[in-house]
Amino acid sequence: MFAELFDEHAHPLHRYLARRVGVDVADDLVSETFLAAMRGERSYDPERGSVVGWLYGIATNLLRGHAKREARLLRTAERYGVDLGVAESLEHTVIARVDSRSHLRRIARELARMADADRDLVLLVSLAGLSVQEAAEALDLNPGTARSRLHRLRAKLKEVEHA
Amino acid sequence: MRDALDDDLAELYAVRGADDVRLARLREQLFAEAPVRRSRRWVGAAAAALAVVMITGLVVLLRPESRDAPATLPVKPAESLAEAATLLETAEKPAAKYRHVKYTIWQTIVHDHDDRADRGSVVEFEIDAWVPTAGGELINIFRRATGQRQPLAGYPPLEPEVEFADSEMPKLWSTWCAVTPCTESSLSLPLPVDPARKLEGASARVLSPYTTNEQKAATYRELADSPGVHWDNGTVTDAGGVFSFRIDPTTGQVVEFVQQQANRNSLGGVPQLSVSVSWEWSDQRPS
Repeated sequence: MFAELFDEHAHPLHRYLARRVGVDVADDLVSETFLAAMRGERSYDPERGSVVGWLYGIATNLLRGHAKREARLLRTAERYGVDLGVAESLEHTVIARVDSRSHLRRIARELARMADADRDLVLLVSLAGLSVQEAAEALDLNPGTARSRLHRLRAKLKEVEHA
Repeated sequence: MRDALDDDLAELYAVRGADDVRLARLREQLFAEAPVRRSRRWVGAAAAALAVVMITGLVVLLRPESRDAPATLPVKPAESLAEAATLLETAEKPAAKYRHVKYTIWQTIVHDHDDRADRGSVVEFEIDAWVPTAGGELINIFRRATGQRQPLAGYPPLEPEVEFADSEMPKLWSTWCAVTPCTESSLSLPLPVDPARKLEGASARVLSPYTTNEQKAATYRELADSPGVHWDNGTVTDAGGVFSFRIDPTTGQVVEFVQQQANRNSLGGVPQLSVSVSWEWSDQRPS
């Protein structure tokens, strides 16, 4: 049963986590997510939402342990105008690639300033492709609250994108 | 709807390597750990089972002869959906640890090929659902193709080695749950208004291992009040004629479900799906 669940969801979940905190950390987080699911550490209640929301909720909680790392990568990305993959490699080297994508720098700065839960909401919908309803389930939010909060956060990001 | 901000976020959070080999290794590590936990549970279950056997033996030995009379009164077979509903509602409440529902399924499968002749067979699958009666416990559902196949008239058979995609595996109910309690989600949807689709709408409700006897009885009563739904000695049909159930008149449980091809003339009248169902209570389940 959990093997079926893994086959269905592990790949997109790993891709999402890897984009946020790197492949090596994503490996651990995917393992920990499914182990937590199997151990029933956060039990699945079908009346409260979908399996996707449940799994990404577990993963998001685990991801919080790496929020500082993500914020640090975002600041590196902002500083050098690079994506997070390059930012990660820059942590191991002194070579900085200056990039002209200044709007990405501003978005990175804004994301780094955001509360963890707000950043999770934006990225669960935009990067992981969850519906607002599923993201709300993952973050234990009222769907209406999630919708209005997401609207506000995206408006702010668009503002700095075009500043 | 995606916009430029999503593109920028995707660019900032660039895709990084997540190859299948990595995930396969993770999968292997993860599911190598599981049996350790299961084996611990098995020891507990075996000890519990031994205790049950010993206690049962003592009870039988010490029981006075006068108590050998049947424990339950003979049941009057149901002669309508409403009576079958009453049977379910008045059935003895289980004291066992698990509800075990076994589905034996014959499904017609045709594989289309662009470059050669289509192939088809009637393929047997089995599903075993073990649903704990206590809350907060893991639900086990085992699905498998048994390897048994029957020929489908007009088609060369499927290749013996062919594997079936998830989408081809029979889906008999609507809900996925990891742990108990679990509610069959189709119960929250109304039955279709169309008299020809009543049983299609009810099928997940009455086949799901998560539906309680009371919920099933309510569905029977709803069907009994629906125009076009007929009861004939335990066989229930609707105006569409595509779906039918057979209900055991002595227990009220669905023991057979048939879904005909939407076009009855296609595939020589062979059903799309034919399911036999058995329901039992058990104190043990496979690990």
